[in-house]
Amino acid sequence: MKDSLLTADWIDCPKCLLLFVTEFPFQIKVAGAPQQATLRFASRSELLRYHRSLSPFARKSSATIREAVEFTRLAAKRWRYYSRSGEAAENFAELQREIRRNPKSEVAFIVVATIRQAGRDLPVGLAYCRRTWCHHLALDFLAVHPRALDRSWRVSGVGSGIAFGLVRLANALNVPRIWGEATVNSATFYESLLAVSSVQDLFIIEAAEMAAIVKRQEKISHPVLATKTATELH
Amino acid sequence: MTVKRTKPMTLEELWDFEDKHPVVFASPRALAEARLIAELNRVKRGRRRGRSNSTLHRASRKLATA
Repeated sequence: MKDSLLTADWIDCPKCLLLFVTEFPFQIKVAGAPQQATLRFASRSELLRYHRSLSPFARKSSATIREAVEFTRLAAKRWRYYSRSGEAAENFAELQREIRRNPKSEVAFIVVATIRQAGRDLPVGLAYCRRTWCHHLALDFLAVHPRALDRSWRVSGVGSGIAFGLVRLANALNVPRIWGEATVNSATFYESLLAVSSVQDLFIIEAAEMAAIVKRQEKISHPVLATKTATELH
Repeated sequence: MTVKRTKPMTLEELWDFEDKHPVVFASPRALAEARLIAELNRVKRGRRRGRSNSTLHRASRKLATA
């Protein structure tokens, strides 16, 4: 099964084309209890909704929350800018199409993590990525939603969950490397996530790290959390 | 570059780590580019607003002189 995801053959199968990789479920902790979150491609309207949900947090005194608001707004603006010139994707199929049309193309996309509460999908974080010309994924923004940073809500694991979702996406796209620039703030997170001792300017996630990230999530994940694609392709 | 491996954290340990170190990260280059795009948008919006305002002013001036 995993092999079929790692090869691009299934993408050419018309039946499988209907089963786009739409969602990447992962486990987080909300108020001390495990809960399923889902990572999926953000459409224009979803981004707008996410953008609107930031307003109540824009004037918070916490620098981290203000930064989360700023980074998310900037990521959305950058996505819209690239979208105007056709260099951004709103879903997996669109990304695939663009790669097939031009294998050397750079395509930007945003993935949003949400949890289901009271019948609604609440955003808990997002990541802005680029599929680079040499078929790698560059992670430019990774930010937990300000709501999830609120101590009273007690949400844990959104960052590592999004990283897991991106690994799943990389597997589905047959991408061998996810990389990004690390900063003084993010280096320790990537050191912990990747179990390496000194991340400096760059972090690189390749086969070994991807396998470790997947294994870590799967240890805790319930079978129902298997990805939609994985379940449907069985 | 050789990478020195450390003991992998469990998911629960990683969650605890994230509780103490909020995940709000941006690549410096991506951030600089995004800020530039935001600034460009702001200037464009300002120009558009300015242009539409002056059209209005001209129109009202014409009305006033008529």
